[in-house]
Amino acid sequence: MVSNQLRRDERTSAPHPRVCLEAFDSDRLLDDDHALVEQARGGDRRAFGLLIERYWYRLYRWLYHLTHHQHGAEDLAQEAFLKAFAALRSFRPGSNFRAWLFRIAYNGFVNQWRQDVRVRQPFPEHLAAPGEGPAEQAMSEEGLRLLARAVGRLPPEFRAAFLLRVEEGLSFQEIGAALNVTEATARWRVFKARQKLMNVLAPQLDREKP
Amino acid sequence: MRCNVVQRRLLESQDPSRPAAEVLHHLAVCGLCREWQRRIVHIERNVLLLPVPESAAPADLLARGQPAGNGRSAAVPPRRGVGGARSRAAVLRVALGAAAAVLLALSWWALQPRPARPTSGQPKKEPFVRDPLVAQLVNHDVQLADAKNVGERIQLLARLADDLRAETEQVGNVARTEDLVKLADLYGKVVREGIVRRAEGLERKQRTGVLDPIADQLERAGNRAQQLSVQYPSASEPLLAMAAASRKGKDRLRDLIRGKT
Repeated sequence: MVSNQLRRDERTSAPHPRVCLEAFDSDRLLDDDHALVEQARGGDRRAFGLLIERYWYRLYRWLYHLTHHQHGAEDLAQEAFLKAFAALRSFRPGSNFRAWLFRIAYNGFVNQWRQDVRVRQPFPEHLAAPGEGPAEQAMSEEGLRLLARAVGRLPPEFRAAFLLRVEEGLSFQEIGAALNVTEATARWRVFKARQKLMNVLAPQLDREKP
Repeated sequence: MRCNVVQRRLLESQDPSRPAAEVLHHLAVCGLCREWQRRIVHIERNVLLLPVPESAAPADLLARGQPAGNGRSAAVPPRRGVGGARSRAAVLRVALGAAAAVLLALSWWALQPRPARPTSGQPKKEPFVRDPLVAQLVNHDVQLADAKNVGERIQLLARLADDLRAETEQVGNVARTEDLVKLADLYGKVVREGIVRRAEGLERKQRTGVLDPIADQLERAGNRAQQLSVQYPSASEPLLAMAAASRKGKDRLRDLIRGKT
């Protein structure tokens, strides 16, 4: 497998919007989405443009963690939005747009990527070295590398569910809707992902214990 | 409850940081399970910090959000148009309010005692506009006053916030804490007394188009400040203050978009 180095001018993004570590206000976002989706269903393309701007980075980030490939993730994200735009009339008003969008994207990932052996990008070189701040806030650079590797080695279905829980704050029911599985299966996949990560990262967590 | 049961319950829970009452009961008396919980939460919080190459929605995808036949370049992201002199005047209030906040901040800045230079005679006071950051802010103020349309004002406001954030980022590991506190305070004033206060006077139908991108901008700025507070622990206090000001500003703008007064 050939490894690609990131171009030196390729910047690493800020972490996920949830990084502020406060309770992620899913309810607010849901209300906003309803209004924009209704406008978009009525033909207001600017409303759909706002939805793209709202969800592009989050969807892309999730797909990047699934594919480990920047351009592949971008292609999948673009495809998901195009499909969502085309299928807006079939979207059930009042249901969870975010889960629906992620489901479209996940179907695309499963169809195109899951069986594909692709060039995977290594852990970004430009990772900002975390400071010595409270241990609860950030792992060491080595810890983050190990975490990235451990997450990347989770089976895709566990990884997808786990990231929807952690990064998007979706409930198990919503994760089930996004991945087209039952709530119980979604819960089990997140459980297995956490269990694996705890096992794999135990030595590093021992080293970094406050 | 036994430890293995509690640990499993934590792994299965929706939010391990907020376990059920019976689990909390056990955690209160079991250090081993508290450490278990700490680790799960620690892992999940650090997942949010995993770096990902930057990406923005492609222009041609955003262009699909354009109304057909408006002749706009596909490279320009769509923004809500503002029609009518009355509407434009209302939007102008938002931008001028931000400009007023910049002036207020500049006045405050000018009143702060500048460190005297060690000379043999009387210390020579530098005119404060030579300070490069202040000069940038003065420039922003002038540009805001001259801005002719909504898109231009929004870009200027975003650049203003970005300049303050970038300044903090550049000096975060070398500046004195008190200087960073001043920067953070300045930033907070621009957000609170400029953007938010004037946004409250904006007509409801204009709010989504005008305020939505500013809210996103504040969210990104807040996230970045939060990240830097970890990277520069000696500057964590002012950086966390910036993060808080950004979040509050963002939340207030989102409330206004939703029609909450």
